Amino acid sequence: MAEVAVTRPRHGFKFGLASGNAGVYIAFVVLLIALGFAAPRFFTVGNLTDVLRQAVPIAVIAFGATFVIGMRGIDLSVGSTLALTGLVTANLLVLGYPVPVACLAGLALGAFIGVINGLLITKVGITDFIATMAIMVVSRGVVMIYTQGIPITGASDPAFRMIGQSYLAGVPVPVVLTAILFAAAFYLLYYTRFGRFVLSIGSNPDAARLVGIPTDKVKIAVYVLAGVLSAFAGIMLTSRLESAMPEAGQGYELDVIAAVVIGGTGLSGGRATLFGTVVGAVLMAVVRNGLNLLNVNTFWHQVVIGTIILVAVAADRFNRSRKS
Amino acid sequence: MANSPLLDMKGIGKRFGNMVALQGIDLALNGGEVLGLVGENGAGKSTLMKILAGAYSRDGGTIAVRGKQVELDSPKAGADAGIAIIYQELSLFPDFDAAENIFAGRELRRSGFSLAPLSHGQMRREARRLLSEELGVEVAIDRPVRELSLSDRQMIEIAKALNSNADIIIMDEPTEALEEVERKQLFAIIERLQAAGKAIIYVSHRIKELLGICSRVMVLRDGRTAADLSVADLDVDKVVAAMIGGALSKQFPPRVPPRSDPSVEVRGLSRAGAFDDISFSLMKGEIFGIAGLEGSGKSALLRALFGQRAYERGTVKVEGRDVQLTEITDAIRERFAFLPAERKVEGIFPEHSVGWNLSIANLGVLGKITLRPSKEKEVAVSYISKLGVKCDGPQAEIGSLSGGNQQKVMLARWLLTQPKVLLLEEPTRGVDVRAKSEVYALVQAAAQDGCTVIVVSADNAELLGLCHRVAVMFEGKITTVVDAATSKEETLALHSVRPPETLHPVGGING
Repeated sequence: MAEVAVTRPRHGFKFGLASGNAGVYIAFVVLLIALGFAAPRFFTVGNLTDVLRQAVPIAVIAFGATFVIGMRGIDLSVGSTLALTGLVTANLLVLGYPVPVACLAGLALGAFIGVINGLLITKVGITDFIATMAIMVVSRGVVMIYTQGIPITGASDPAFRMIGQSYLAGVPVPVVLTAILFAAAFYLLYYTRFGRFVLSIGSNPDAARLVGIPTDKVKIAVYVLAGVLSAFAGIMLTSRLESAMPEAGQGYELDVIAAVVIGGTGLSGGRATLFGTVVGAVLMAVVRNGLNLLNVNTFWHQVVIGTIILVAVAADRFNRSRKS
Repeated sequence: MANSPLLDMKGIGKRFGNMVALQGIDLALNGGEVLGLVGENGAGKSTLMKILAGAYSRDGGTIAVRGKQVELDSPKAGADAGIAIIYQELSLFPDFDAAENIFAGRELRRSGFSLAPLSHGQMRREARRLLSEELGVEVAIDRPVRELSLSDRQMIEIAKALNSNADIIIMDEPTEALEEVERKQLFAIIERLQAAGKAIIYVSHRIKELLGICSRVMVLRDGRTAADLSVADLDVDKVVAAMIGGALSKQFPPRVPPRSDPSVEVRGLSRAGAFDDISFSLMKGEIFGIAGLEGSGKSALLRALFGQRAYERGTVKVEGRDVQLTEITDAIRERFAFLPAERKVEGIFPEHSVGWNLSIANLGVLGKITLRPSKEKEVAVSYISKLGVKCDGPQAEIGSLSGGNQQKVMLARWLLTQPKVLLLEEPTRGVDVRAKSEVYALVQAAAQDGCTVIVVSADNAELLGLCHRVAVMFEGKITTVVDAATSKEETLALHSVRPPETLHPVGGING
């Protein structure tokens, strides 16, 4: 209708603050309070630190996935990328290469996998779901061939251990690194041309092309970003464990998608909330931790997480349809 | 109830939240009547039709069909009452063929058993009979409808309505995307349906056309009936006046002569199967129209100039310089701008605000590296007021705007890039009367600033009113170029449908 004055909340004119999943934020706070009563050990510094540490790898990968999903894409290869890049980094360290070289090699490999994903999708024309699933399987296979299923241990260079194990002013370094990555991703998504291009492609790919957005290049860059962030998570995990596990990151692709979706980013693209993604990742870690504290059988964790995904998405749908 | 009308709606009301969409609408309709329904976007036409089709529930009033009260609380109830609606965006299954679409939801089976195999042969025969005998059109029965022309798909929709025994057929903007010939065909079918005793409600922005085929016209304004008169008592001006509640200033702005410095020069542009040996040269500030049927190559040519699907042979010069337009980014670098016809499909970013949609083609104005929210607001506010966009500020979602206002945002998007060449494809499709003349004024203002404009349109009146010169394309070639001020719509229509040879004996003046 043409001239209807709709009253809408006027958040200050900032970018990136709209479109979160308010229901999830409220549920998150309620959950924290409930856990505080049910499991007094929950609100101890040690336990909260654990929760954040558990949330870190999923959160970091989910930053990349927020770009991918905001672009109406999907990346299933992130868990395998984490394993493969962690393996390469660990192996180079064991062979005596300096820490920066090993880490950069891991990140470069992550970028390379992203390029492969991007090229398969844009130039070969394979659907993102299939292309990244194939890469997921291939990368995992390479990890298994190389390790023969046995962990690579001995990545215990003291400088390398700092990445995953040390503290900065009482806060674990991985959490600090994650916060920095969040800030960078936030800036990139909401305050740069690149971020607008990503969300424009997700919103309407044909229109994006017609306003001169180099859609193929942007897509490849987004998969590279996802690959690099997976590698980053792989390095942090390797550093924490001082070894590379062949099965590391298995099933992460689904946890990551869950974090993004719980946060309020829809799979239909165009809209993305990085803040929601952080909440989603932490929420899942809190739930797992809380269930452990309450001595709930781990098999039940799956049921609970799955239910949360359904409720979160249903709440988001409900909100949106009420608004329009 | 011997003489009760076929359809009788009384006191229909509808609210959306605090907003009154319809109030006290009475609508009576007899078999064999064609009722034209007009009104600006947001006047309540679609709401009223959706209530009638059972897609919306009403808040007040009664509806009777053949003297019997009906509830119409679901689309199925609407269909059961014999009401069929043909939406502007047709709702066929693109991968099904005509017969499957016509029988969608009411498939014929080989026996009464609910899992019995479908009787495809019988459905095909019946579909063919409906299309060729009842409607008198030739439409391929066995091809997926996505391969058929828009006009053919519309015929299938009408056949589908007939097959469901609908007596009341609502057509929402049926001719908006049709070419002249196809439009004539549709009008002939409407007459057939009318003769068969069907009642038709015809929703359209094209008032002149409407007056030609309707027996009565109902005008809605702000959710109320502004007029309900027999066509004998109406003309275009009266309808428009009722629509907007006052007289409209002249629809087309007065022409301003182009400048004398050359802008775009096209020589021998060709792409196999699309357009062939196209040449023209345009001045700065010139508005150049291209008429022709769908498939004549006019849109392909326009899009080739924007680098979307490049031309194979020929040259393009901009201000005397040879340019290559093989990619969209090449065209944008030469400061070409392109407004696609399908605004929803190729234009807007539906999840985003007016400000976002407006700035996306030239994000440089928001900051070199960091995009600044304050800049976005400033730019959007200035264009909203400059172009008279009616919206709830720069943060309003683009989808909350009417078609005409969305189109102004699309135009603003490209004006922000300070284009040298503005390529417009159906610039006023789905735009209401008042917004149309505003769009024309904006296009002309751009031309006056030295921008060269190329307009492709199926609306010949629009081309003649807006442009300096109009070319007509037929089967990929430009067959004639006329001076807009001194030409008639019929001339364009005639050249659009006939190869040039056959015209010579008639007029002999075109060259």
